[in-house]
Amino acid sequence: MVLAAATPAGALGLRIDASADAALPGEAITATVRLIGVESAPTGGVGAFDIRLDWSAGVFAVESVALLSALGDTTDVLAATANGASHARLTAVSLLAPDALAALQGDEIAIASVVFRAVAPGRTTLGPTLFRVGDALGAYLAVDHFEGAVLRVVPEPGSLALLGVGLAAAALARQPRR
Amino acid sequence: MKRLVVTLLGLVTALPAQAGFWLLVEEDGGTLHREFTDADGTFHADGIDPSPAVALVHFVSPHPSGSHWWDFRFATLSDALIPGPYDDARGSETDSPAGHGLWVVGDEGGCYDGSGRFDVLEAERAPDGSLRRFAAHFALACPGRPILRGTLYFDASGPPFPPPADSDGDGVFDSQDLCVDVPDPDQADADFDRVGDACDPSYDVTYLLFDSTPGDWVGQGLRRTYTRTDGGFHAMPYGGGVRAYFDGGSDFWSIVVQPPQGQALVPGVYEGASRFPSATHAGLEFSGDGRGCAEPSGRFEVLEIATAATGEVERLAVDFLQRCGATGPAVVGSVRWNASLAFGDLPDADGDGVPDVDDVCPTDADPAQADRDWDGIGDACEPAAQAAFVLLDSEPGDFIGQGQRQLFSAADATITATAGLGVWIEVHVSEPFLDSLSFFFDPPFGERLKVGTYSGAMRSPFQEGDAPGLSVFGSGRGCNTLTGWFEVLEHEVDARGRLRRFAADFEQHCEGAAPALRGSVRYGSSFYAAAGDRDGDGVLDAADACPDAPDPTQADADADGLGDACHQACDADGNGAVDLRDVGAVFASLDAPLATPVDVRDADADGQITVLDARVCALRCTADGCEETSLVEIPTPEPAGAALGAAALLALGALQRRARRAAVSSPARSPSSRGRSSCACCG
Repeated sequence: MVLAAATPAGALGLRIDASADAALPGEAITATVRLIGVESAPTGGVGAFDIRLDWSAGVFAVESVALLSALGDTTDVLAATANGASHARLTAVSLLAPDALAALQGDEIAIASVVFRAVAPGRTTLGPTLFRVGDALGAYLAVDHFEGAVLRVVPEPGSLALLGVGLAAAALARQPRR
Repeated sequence: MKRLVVTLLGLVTALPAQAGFWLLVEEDGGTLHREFTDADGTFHADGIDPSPAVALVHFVSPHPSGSHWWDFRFATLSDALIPGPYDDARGSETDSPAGHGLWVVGDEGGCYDGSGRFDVLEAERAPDGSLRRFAAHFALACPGRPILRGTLYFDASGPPFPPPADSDGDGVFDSQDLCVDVPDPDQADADFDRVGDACDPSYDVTYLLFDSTPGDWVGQGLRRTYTRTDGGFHAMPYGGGVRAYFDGGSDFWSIVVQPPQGQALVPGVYEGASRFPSATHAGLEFSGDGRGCAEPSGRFEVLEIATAATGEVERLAVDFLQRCGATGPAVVGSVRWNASLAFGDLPDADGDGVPDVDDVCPTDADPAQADRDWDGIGDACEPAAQAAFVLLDSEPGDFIGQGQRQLFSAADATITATAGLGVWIEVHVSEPFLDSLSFFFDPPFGERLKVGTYSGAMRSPFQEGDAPGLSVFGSGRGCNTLTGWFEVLEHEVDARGRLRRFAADFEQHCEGAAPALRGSVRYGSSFYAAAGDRDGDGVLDAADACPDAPDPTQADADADGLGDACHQACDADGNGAVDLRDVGAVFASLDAPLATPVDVRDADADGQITVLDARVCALRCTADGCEETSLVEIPTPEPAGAALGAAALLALGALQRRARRAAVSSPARSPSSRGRSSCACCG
């Protein structure tokens, strides 16, 4: 599920696309972080970013974080990630010239892929909290809007059935006896 | 069966405590109204991190499909969320002018990118950092939606909530009190420095200072500072604004500042001011000593103003810039009347970081303070400046210069010139004591002085044969005989034989002795650099902290002996080139504090080391292909913090991969290889 917000035309935004809205405990969901409206940047590209994602620990655990080649291949980028139990920081700087960046990037670029493993039933929003994005010349780019994702972990069917039985039993137990 | 029922009942009742959980969300206009307690669902909270301090609270109904859910994120860049109001919140606290972040997102509304405010009623964290109790009201405006308001209690202890501390008992909680230890219920803060007047009673700064560029009618090119010891100061209401004046008997200066008609004079910047205020423009008039402008224009900033109930002006702090006309020379200045000491920063009208009182050109940004002719008027204010100075650099034992280095310019001396067959320069100094210096440059007999080198000079006017004449003397000292040479760099006379331009460097040995007196003479010259001062900043190379870049201030923020002007932005290792090693060092320093006020890693000079700096440095690479052969010897940089440890390592990994690629392709790298042809670092 994507928390869709109005996306202003011609403005830089950040969007998170999840491979699924819900997962059973133990299953994986992949979230792709994208910058959209990149061509609205005055210098026609994104040259650096430093973005932090937050989610609720205990519902999902991060399994892997991979920075994609939006700013160039591995030899053209200085890139780093730093993860915590409930956040991940994605950082990259391109070494490419502005014209090469412009040729590489379209209006929408995928900058990172994060794989989460469902831990326990619950729900969390996944969204950016702190971020800094620079254009091809290193000037600050304001991110006008962002669209996070809502991820859920649903109980196993067996657990659901057990819970249902429990609730029914509780209801029966509360009935007055003659 | 009974045992199973009891067990399941235990599971069902093993939910968070019932009391103190409440959630109310509603949109203006009544389109949405939801109210939940812990009977309707579960509340969950994540820990509070310091800097930013964050409270994340989640609510979800117990139904597996999540029929209703809401998420809340309250944040502040301060160290802690404490009870009190948090205004100007944005989706990300880094986008908020106040540093406050607020999310409210649910299945029926909310957004990440709204703006609003919240009031924290209670916030308590457990020893492990988790959120123990939390309560807040919030109001959030999401794009295209009615305002979302509500209240969130997470295991709250109230209402009523325990009141926060109020040490001085003035009814204002400590977290909001502008003066914690002194009762000040009105929270007066006349100087707006967030230190209440009750704690900040020093309002006695009174002065007038101004600095003017040559040609400014009012200021007459003068720089003046007046304090209470120089005369009387007065300030009074005037036409909706304020008039302040200084009366020193012989000196009288006045300034009038007025807000646009119909407005009140409040702290802020007033651009486009003219003599008479209108509905859209403020009024400004600085005059004095009988001089004023018919049509002044300019700007002023009110830093502080306080008036009594009677209308009397109690405190005033104003900086201003005025021109007599739309363009042209300007006068900049500051007036303080019983102002707060909080305004310690001197005015800097051109915003170049050099206070006006020290700025050689206060009206045009010139952080380098270039003043090629050393006349005290910066090149930015004097683009057609002509050098006029004499420089003496005397070796120990030299009789004339007494081993001293002396510089005289139009700022502190009168320099006159007389042209005949040769040139005679005279320098008269009145401060700190009356003194004079003379310079004679004569061609050999029978010739006229022209550009060129004259060697084998003898004392003028006693040169013999075809020897040129030279004599530098003054302060009551002269040579009986001398040897030396001089080089005429520029020599130009007008049709009437008057000297227009002259420049010469010389070396003289009194009585033929070894100690030398070297120097330079410039008169209306286009030659600025003196002998032995190749960057022309007035500091001889031997003593210059950065001999190849003009830096008259010799600033050396890191005190390493190498002037700031020589510290190339991005050159983190100081090897004189910007290469991938430097970019990596910047990248590995993200979030690190600046080592010095001028840190080469802060390429965009915004006071922070960020990915933007790394990108700027990547574009500034000066090394060929931004690949240095010694990259394989990259030292391990110190990461900014544990959180970025991985960042540093991965950055190094990228560097080393790149280095390996460079090693493979070196020395005969393919010019068409992608990394080389498209690399931002390519020199």
